[in-house]
Amino acid sequence: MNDRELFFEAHVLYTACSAALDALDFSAFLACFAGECSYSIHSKENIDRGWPLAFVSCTSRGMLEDRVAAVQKSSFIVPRVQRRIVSGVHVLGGEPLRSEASFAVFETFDGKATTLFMAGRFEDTLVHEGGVLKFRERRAILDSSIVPNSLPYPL
Amino acid sequence: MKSLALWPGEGLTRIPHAVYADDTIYEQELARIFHGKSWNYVALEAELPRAGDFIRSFVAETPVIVTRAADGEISVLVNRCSHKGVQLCQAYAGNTKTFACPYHQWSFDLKGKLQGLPFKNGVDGQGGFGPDFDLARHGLDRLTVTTHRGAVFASFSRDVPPFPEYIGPSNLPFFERIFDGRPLRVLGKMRHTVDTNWKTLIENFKDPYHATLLHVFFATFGIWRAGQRTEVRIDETGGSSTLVQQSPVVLQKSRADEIDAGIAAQMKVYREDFMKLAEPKILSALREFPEDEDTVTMQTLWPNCAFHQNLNSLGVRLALPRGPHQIEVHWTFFGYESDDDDMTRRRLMHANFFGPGGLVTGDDIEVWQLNQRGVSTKPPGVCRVEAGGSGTDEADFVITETAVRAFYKHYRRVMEL
Repeated sequence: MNDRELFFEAHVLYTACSAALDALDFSAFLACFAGECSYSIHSKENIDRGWPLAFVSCTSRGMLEDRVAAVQKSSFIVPRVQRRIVSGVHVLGGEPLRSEASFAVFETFDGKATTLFMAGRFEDTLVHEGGVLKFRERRAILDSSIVPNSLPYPL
Repeated sequence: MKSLALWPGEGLTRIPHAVYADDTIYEQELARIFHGKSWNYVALEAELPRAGDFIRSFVAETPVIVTRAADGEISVLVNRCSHKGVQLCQAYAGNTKTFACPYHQWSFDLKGKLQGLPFKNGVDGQGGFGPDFDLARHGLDRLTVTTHRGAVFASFSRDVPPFPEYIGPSNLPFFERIFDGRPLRVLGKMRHTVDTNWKTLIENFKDPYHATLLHVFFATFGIWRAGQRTEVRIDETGGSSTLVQQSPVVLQKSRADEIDAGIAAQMKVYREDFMKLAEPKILSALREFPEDEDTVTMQTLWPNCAFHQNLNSLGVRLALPRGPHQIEVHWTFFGYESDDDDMTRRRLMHANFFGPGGLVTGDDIEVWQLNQRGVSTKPPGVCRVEAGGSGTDEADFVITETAVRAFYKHYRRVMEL
């Protein structure tokens, strides 16, 4: 596979993942991940200080499935629209295949103006599974160390 | 202060909405509570192990620097240059000998003493500071400091009771369960805002009534312990309290007893039609305190600090007021230096229940914002807190708001409301 094909495939994956979460289509979100995978959200501060704590830490696919189930079935979440803008997808190569991207998430509550909820970057590793590119490891690293209110959905 | 007839005649079973939303009351809270006779948690000693270490922290709205000097003494200094008021220190943490103001290079030592300033004697014999300018009189504002078992507290008052007396004998054993003297290891911080009043977070820790109703994570996945034992411990003033509850899952006595068999057996007793966790290991917790029989604790320290010990997660959080309608919540998660990798892994895994993305605390944050909208609605109303009666005594049942009433007993005394 040449770089151009890989770049195209990575874009398809990043776009599909953001679109799934914006639409609260969690099965489509999970479909972006490999059978063995991890997902975590970190503050800049914890990364800078070398602390292992994460806001969200799913160390297996099962944990990610449970979190998605909790979001759908048990968590109390005030309805909102989230819109993810993912840009600068940068496939770095290597084995496992490393990739990075920047993200911004806008948030809109009923009756309120849209605000910028969060910006940051993804540090991912990707893997081909059944001929389709998937996330094996996804780390979202927030630019801010302070989250506005809550972080109910994956980024 | 205006309208002292604020409190309804029913007394402690009512909370006037104005205490959450009124600007004048908020200013009085800063003056009387946070700048008064309170011990305010600011740091763990584990964050300042060496001479020269410092971290930034807050006492309510006041930014402070917590430092350790060469002689080991911990100081809590207001992060504001004594010259023009510039914020001195911008880093969250570091190691230094001095704090120099970027504006005119006034320089302060780790205890806040003004060490020197450029051009003290002017230039070419002209200008500068007169012979009466005494460096010793122009240091940084210093707070009173106490420590207890590795936690650091600060006060604007020099007249606060010693910490064990302040937290009260009912609560102290549960504080000392976590802070048992073993050196601590910081695992990380979480910080987030919530558009709510600071007391709303603290009341949440005093309200076992809401937990079964709002936090349905465990029930959703078929994990429920019927008649979950609960004790509510309250200090004599009413300001600080501890909820001691039977753990939502059985704390395993040893790794040998443990999952997957342990958790699976525990889940089997519940209804077959509940959802199943794909990864039950998230609930796998070890019993770690020798005197403990399978309990979790949620403790508040007057005014705005809370400690949790739940599954194997240990943490402290501050509800830092940012006006009546917003808080910053600063969490520090920790374990012990003696933890092995397996225990550290559990503590990090169980942190999934806490913080802004927490599987349990996420629910609270959503509700607290709606709560603030309600209590800010004009004309103001009252909260009704009658669960478990109208008293402020300790309790050993779950459907009670006794610790909330006790908190307001103390609040009214301090605020003269």
